[in-house]
Amino acid sequence: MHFALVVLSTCGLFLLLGAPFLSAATVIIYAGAIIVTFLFVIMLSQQAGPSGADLRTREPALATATGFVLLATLLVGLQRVYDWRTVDAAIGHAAELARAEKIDPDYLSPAGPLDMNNVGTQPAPPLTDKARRFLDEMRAALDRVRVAAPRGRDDRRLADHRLVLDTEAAINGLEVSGFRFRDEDEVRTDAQKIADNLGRLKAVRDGSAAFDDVVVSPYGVVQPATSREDPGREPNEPRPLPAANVAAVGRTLFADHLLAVELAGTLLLVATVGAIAIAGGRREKAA
Amino acid sequence: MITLPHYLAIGAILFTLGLIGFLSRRNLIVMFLSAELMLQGVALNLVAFSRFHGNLHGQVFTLFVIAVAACEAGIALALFLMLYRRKRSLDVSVWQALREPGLEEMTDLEPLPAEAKEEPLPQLSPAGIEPAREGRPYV
Repeated sequence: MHFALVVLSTCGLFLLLGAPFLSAATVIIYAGAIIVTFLFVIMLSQQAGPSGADLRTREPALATATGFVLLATLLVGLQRVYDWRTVDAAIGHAAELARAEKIDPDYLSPAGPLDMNNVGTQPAPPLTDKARRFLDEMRAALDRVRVAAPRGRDDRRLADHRLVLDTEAAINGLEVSGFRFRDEDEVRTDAQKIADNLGRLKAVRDGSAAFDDVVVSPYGVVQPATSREDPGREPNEPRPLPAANVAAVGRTLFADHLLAVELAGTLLLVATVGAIAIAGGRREKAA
Repeated sequence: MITLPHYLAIGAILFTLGLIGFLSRRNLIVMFLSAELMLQGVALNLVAFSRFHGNLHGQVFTLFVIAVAACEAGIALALFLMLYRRKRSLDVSVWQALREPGLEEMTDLEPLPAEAKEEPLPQLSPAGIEPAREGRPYV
């Protein structure tokens, strides 16, 4: 009964996701045919009463631990991909640094200002803790939004977009100089550049900004920036599914997946024959 | 806003619950229902991707998943019937002889509660004239 409830709930979710045919099919096949088959099997395998074995579980602690490890892995994977709060925070910090009238002395390296005339011979000035954390945060955010440029027609390898390279250069510049340039305006300029580039790369990942003539939607579809099927739609909203769901599913099924349909039919036939062969033998013939 | 990762998280939760049930239950039928629960989680993932990619390939794949699940249900239940006929029990731990070599047998720490003995059906004396039997001439 619990399983029937779960099936009904998932078919409710299918309805929310714009799949009315699938929700009906799931209810009919799962909560209909399969559960009726279960009832037949339970009827034929009657036990003398509720047996004690049903109450015992095998290794419940180990099974639950395994389940939680799996769930944690899946949820952490989802969070890594879909959670943008750290990137937003990083962009906020960089913008805040860029707007500050006076740079917080906690950022500035205790060493003196960089002597630009002989940069190569001087050792790198030490960074304060706050500066080190800031730079790590910027680098982590850049790794999240880094987008390899889509292949150009003549380009055989994927290269990092120039925005990514610019941002990396700015971060490295801040690190090498220990946040002390000849004047603080350069620190602010660099921070502003980092904030702008990170924001723009994030918009490219979201699909709300074009990227060398293509738009990469967050759900994996690359389409040219000029052709937009429905100008009224937000750029990063998914394309609506066709309203005539059954007809469209049938069309996709028989146009794109014909081989799979034939194979599924063969599989169903073989399964039917197999089930009858396994369980259809009369008791006298069973060994 | 309910976005894609919410649906994927629910799919993951369904899958994990099915996995826990499959690994820990002993009744064959309940184990199979847990496996079906895992398939439901996967189907939810597929339909969510189909919605958010804007095409129907995910829904078509889900249709195949349902078809395969139906086949699997048929054959699995036929097998369960056969197994029940052998050992008169739907407990999967009576089939320990099928375990891998090197694993030790999983025994219950306490014996299972004794099943209520079936009362034998009452034997009624046959009505009418009894046929002749050895040591008992025809009456």
